[in-house]
Amino acid sequence: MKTARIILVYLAAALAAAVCGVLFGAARIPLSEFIQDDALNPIVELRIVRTAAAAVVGASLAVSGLVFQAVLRNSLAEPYLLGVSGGAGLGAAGAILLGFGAWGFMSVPLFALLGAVTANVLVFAAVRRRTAEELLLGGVMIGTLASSLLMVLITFSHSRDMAGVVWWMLGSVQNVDPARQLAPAAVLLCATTVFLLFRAGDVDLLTFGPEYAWNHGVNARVMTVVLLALASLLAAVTVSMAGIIGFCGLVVPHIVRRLHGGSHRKILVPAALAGAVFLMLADILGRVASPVRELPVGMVTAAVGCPVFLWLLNRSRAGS
Amino acid sequence: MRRLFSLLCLLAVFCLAACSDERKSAPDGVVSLSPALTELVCHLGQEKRLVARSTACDWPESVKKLPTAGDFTEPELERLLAMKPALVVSNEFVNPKDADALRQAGIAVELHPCDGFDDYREWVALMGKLLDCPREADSELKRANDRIAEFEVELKNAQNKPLRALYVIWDSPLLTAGADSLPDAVGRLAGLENIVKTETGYPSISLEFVLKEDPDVIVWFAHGKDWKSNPSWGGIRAIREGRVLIPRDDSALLRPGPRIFDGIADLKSDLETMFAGRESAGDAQE
Amino acid sequence: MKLTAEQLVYTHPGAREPLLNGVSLEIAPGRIAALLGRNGSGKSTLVRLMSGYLNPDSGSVTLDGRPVSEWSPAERVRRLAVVQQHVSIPLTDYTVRETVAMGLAGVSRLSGALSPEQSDRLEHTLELLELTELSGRLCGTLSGGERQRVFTAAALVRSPGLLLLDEPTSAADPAVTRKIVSLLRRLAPEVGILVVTHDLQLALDCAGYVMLLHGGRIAAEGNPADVLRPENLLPVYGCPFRRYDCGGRPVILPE
Repeated sequence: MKTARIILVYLAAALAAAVCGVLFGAARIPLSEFIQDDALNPIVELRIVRTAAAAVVGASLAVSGLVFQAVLRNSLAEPYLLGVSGGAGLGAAGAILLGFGAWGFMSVPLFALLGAVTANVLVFAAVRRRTAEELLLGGVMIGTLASSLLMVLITFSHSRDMAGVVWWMLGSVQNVDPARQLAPAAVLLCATTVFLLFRAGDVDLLTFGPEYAWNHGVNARVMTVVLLALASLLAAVTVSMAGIIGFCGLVVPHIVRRLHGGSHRKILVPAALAGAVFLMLADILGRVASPVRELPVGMVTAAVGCPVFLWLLNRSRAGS
Repeated sequence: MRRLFSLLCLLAVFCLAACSDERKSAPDGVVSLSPALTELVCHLGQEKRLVARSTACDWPESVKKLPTAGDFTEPELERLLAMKPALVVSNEFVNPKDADALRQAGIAVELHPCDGFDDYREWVALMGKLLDCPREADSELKRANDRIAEFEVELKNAQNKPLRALYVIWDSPLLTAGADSLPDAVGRLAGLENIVKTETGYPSISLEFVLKEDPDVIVWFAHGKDWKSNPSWGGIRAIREGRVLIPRDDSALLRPGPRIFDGIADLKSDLETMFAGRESAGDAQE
Repeated sequence: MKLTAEQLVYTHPGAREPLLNGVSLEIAPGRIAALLGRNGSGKSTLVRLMSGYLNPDSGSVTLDGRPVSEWSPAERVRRLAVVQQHVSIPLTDYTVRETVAMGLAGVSRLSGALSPEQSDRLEHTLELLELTELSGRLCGTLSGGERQRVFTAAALVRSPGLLLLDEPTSAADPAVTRKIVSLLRRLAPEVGILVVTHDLQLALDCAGYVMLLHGGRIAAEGNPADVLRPENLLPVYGCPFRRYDCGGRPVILPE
């Protein structure tokens, strides 16, 4: 299939998922009530923001995961690897538990972003030879340290605050500020995607290892750091607005690669759109399955993603 | 062999506990690791028996002078063992093994939940026995029953339908109080009806559900959080129209202790003030 | 066009002794140079130093008079192509055509599309290495020798002036080896070539210049017929060799 046609198919799927995201939810609203008193029904407005947030977060995670897997040449790589999840968790928990939450709605997301970026920078600073393998190990170490510190913070906390932290860690697209969070995240996603489209050849070459990339004109050391930092930033921004959502960044790139081959120029946009579709559907599923109690979307993605991933794994064994 | 030994140990502990019970001498060293129980002990006139409290115990003011021996539900074992109190009371321990450790050191431990009025009555009776103050306990039981009955009568005579309320425990994520929770019971006596009926405990509920239910009033227990700051809440009518009630002292309402009835009365009068004006305004418009 | 290494010293991180200790060599069009030596003697490391992927402790590598590390990557690879001995297998497979085209992507990477001239070069290179029929296959389904040819094609597709080959025939059958030898001979007038190999016969057959790497230094260098003698090979490989004459073509074999 031609790249353009593939993208059109994914775009159609994303649009369909977005429409479903606005039509379905906990409440049943007839189309006639979408507009109330010359204004958008607040429930519909909520669904639009939520669906858009799911799309941006899903796409960001998929793009980030795609870059991580390509550059680290590891099929288990995911966007949070280089300290992002642990750092963000620590930042958010610190903000909640130390009472900075009272500074306003944005304080927790900002602290999460700060934590994620700090942990990420720490990984790059602590690892001297920044090869993929060593960055991976450094990331796991710093991430584990951050998670342990987070656990320490949690044991010192009161149960109400703890619930807030745990919920935040599970991931949810319910509480997203469209102007202060969603819009900047969307801009970052678009900018990163355009940059990656220009550099897709470099990403392709890096999948053969840094020496091969160097021999074909890629400054492998610099590009590895640039790409991983960019992918981590993308993940950190999603974490700051929606918490930690597993499986999206791991499973979606694998599926898209398997379906359309390895050339990143061809699969970048499809992967982003597939990530958006995946998270929008997971969010709709959670909303419809549990209308009163909010299901964390990270739980839904794990419940859907885990069997899909195992199926994929076994299929690839059989194929090779 | 080891099992037999631990069984014997357990037996010995039980015997000790039984003996001390029989002698009926009220223990002097009492540690309360629950704010509600601390309040109850003081309310029964037994504050002099308290030797330590939890970090969360802050009422009455005088208990703040006592040393702390742990957080709410989390005893500091070593400090407690050094203190050698006769009795430790709490609602639950995060680590249930802590209770065994204390009992093995010869410290009596009473761990019972206190999530509603029935639990409270049971605790009052138990404290009467434990602290050897049956008369005070009886009068507190009577007071509690009378006040609850009073609220029930007022409820029955109320002319308006109960106001539909959302109890906010935490704002992001939205944690609320479910059907069997203390805020639910407290709010009912104050003339409120919880919009959350199918979920129990303290669930996180979907914003869409709140928008659909369109509560009349929001009771804000998210201490220290600003109800105006969360942009995704703008769609909730009660938020837009400012029908958010912040309890004067949420510890009185969230702690199943002796102050809870005054807390309910306060909540009720605050609700009446909040809606009296509005209702008459609404009537005038109609 | 010229690639010159002078007095290279290189020590692996953490190692006590330097692996290479004062190695100099020069690659220029018109000549095929062969580099021989035992396993672990530093041949592949020398290639990595000459490509600029590794930096020497001391000494210099210059491409056309300028340190190789100072060239912009795109300008460098337009002149200098390297075929590694081992290439990591990517997570997902590319087709043969995609993989060879990536050799061009390094030169012009802004748009994904190839210019007509680049397309011609791609087809020509595929043909040169007899990959046209395999061009739609996924690299993962190829044999080791076939994959080696794919990576050689990816290096040659930019028409570089200098070519470093690290054991290009290690996975090739005799027929393919013969074809590679004739290909190198054909390229030699315009392309400076360095072949790292364990195949003494390959060196005798196609190289115009041979270097024996031993103990971190060049133990012997010069004309293949002069260098590849039993008395030179014994100290390097630690085993006796004998030279035979097969109708005017020298053959050297371990005894």
